[in-house]
Amino acid sequence: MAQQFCTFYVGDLFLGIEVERVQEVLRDSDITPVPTAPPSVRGLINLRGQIVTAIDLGTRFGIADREDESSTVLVLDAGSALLSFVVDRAGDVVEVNDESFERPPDTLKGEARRLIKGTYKLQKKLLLVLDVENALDLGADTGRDKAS
Amino acid sequence: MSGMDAIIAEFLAESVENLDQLDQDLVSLEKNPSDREVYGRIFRTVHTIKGTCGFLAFGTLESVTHVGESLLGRLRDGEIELTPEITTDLLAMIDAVRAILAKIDATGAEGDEDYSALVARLQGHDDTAGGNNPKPKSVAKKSAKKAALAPKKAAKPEAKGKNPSPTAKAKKKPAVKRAAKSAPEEEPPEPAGSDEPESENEDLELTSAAAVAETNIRVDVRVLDHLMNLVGELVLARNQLVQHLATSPDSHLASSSLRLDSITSELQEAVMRTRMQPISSIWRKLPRFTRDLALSFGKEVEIEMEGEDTDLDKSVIEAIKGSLLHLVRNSVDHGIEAPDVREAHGKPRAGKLRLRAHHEGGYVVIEVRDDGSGLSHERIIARAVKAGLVAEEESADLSQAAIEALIFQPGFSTASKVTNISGRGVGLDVVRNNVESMGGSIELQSESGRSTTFRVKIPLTLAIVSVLLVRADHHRIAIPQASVVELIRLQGNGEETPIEDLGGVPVYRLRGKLLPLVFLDRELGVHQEESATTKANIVVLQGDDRQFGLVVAGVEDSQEIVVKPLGRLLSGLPFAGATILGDGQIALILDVFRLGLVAGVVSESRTHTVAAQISDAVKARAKVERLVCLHGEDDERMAVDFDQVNRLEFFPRTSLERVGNQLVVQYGDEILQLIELQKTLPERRKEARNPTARSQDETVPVIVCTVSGRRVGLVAHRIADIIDEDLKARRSGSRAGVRSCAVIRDRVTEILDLEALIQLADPTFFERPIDQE
Repeated sequence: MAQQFCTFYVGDLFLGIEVERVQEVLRDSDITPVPTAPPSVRGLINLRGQIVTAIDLGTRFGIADREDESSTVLVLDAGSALLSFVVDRAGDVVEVNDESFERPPDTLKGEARRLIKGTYKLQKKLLLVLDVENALDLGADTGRDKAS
Repeated sequence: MSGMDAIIAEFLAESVENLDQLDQDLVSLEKNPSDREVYGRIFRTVHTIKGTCGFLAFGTLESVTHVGESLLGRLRDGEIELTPEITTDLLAMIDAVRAILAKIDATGAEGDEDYSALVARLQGHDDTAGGNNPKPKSVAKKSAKKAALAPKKAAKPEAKGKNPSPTAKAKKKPAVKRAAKSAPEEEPPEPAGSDEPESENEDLELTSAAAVAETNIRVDVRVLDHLMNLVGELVLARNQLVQHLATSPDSHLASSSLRLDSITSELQEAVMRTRMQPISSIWRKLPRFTRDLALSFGKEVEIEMEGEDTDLDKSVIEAIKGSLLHLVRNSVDHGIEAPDVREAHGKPRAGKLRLRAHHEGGYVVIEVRDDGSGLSHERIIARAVKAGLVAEEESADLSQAAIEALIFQPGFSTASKVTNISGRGVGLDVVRNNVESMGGSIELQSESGRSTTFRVKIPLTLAIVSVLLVRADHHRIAIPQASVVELIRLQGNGEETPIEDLGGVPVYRLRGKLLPLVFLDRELGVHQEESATTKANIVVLQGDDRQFGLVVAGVEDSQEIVVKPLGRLLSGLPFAGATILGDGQIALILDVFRLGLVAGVVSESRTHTVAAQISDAVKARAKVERLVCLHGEDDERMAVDFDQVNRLEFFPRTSLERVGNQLVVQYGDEILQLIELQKTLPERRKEARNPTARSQDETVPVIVCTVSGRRVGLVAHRIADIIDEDLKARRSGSRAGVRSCAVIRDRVTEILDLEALIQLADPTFFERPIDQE
């Protein structure tokens, strides 16, 4: 069984999302920041009149202090609404074989473990499969303390 | 199969609509039992349902409607008199039909409920009347009708006998149907006339149905919603284009864009109109609802409605429905007294419940008024003390307004005995929350022993809101206009009171009252501008029960926007949604209440601070107002809010002109529409005024006002004075166009409600576009 992945880069990570989940890739989109929002929420995008929340995957993976604030955005249809991920750079669509799949090693710790479903061993590098549901579940990352 | 489903869906939708109409008709019949037309309508509705369900093989439904139809047919022909028992059973029949329809809607089948008792009761009415009513009708047609009905009646029990179980509907139904249809032909007592009435009815139905079909189509609300969204987008795209073209030198392009602009606006309006429904779509349930309520409370209630055709957005209607029912329930349960009590107070036994709806600016005002006992302050206080809403020692100091505000508190219910209808713990606080969450407001007016009026004001549509755009750092934030009370700009020229510090809390003295301040940039955690205490923009906001000032970096513009929801990831933030502005940029819409909560100026647990809030509210009400006082021809006193007045002018009487039915005057470059107070608000005395007594002064005093962005002149007899008055002792206005009454300089003065007044004088005034400067 072959499966196609839409790939992208966040920091040093080479990540992929099942291609059928990605609706479109936007470059240089204007992101309106939302004050008081959780830090992983980069802001809102006007996608042809629809307002889409943009989640910064770099922040999500805890990759701090990236120089250029990129604005390449992957738009996903998350069932009831559209959501999007801000990534550093979009890659190609690659086709992978199920046999090359492996669960993430137990030594992978922390939030990264929640965010990575597994990996496909490509010829030159490893493609990490993003766990979209967990990436969208901001959980404890609730931004500023509302009691203050 | 899907074709069949569609037919059934259509049948359900149509029947439910018809049933609502039936409820209303039956109740109105009880009052006016001789209205043949209404009988005819009811008969046709039931007949249609019966016919369709026969065709769709819903046997139980058919058996119920069949007896009902037969009984109704005889009522219509005057063979039976309508008694309350018959009405009750007919209403029960409608309920049964409704229950079965709901079953069909949910499961696709009729269910196993047994309605034979009801059928027997209906049959009973029919039979009794038939038995002791052998009046020989001289007209052949009459007896023909009777004959046509008789075989049907005969067919009915026979069918029942064959299939006593309602589950065997498939078989039973055709039997009834065939029997009913064919009987007159097979055993014709008077063959010539027997078919006539039936076909007459059918003709009637056909023509009326055809007429309706020509002008109406049923549209799925989702389609309209989608259309509405698209139009919203079109408006935004239009805005972008127009902004872009404003700088273009191409005049052709500019003129086409202008056309596009106006067409889009019109399209938007038209699409909005498709979503409009008259308020009668909820009101027509009310006569029945009230009748049942009144019966169960042992009260007598007459319901009166005014403005049934007032249009509202469908989503607003849906959202307001529950609250409206609650208010009616409240009035019947708590407001209107028992018949004996009413009689003892010299009132008619039947209480009057009056519903009124009308447009007012971009709002719809719905009033629910009963002529009951009014609010009992003693009982409210006793109850509030018991519920812990106020301390006993405080209660003596509460003003009337504060006491009345108590009934909107959570956990409050004055019903001395808990009834199964009003006392379910769902109080008026829920109604208020619901209304306020839609951007509306609710007011209460009560006259002890005379009446209680709830006045609900809600926006026409929820989709488009008017907002004020402000800045915090480089963020643009939209604040719903409904929450904005006023704007204050501190110029920093040393003449105004600066922002002051009260134990670390910034406050501003607004007309002698301390207004807590919240800095928007601080609350949003964005880059803060140097805060000067003398130079600031303060937006005074109404957050829940209290006001607070929001200090913003700049105030931009007010706009009409389409609200878009924020996703679930951004819930819990002090934003109610977002919108796309004309330039394609996104602006966040501030949730004023939540912001106040986060900033700590609005308290979450209302009950703890209720006394403080109430005293605030009282102070706010007692504030000094500046008024322009006018005298009428008979020295009657009126006053206009100074804030709404631009200028006071005197025009020569000869310069007034009449254009169509409007009185106008040239005013600078524009034509100013004039409204004659004397004509719009005539004296209420009975004798006609002597026309020669009219004053013929050389000049006419005119108060030039701005109402909702439009200018208008009020023609008065004499402009007397401008006064500052503490208007504590106010009473509600007793007629349209009058906001309230107050005693000013020892004279009862009517304070005018300009919007309502203009509406009275010229109903289309607010619909006309604002003149370009």
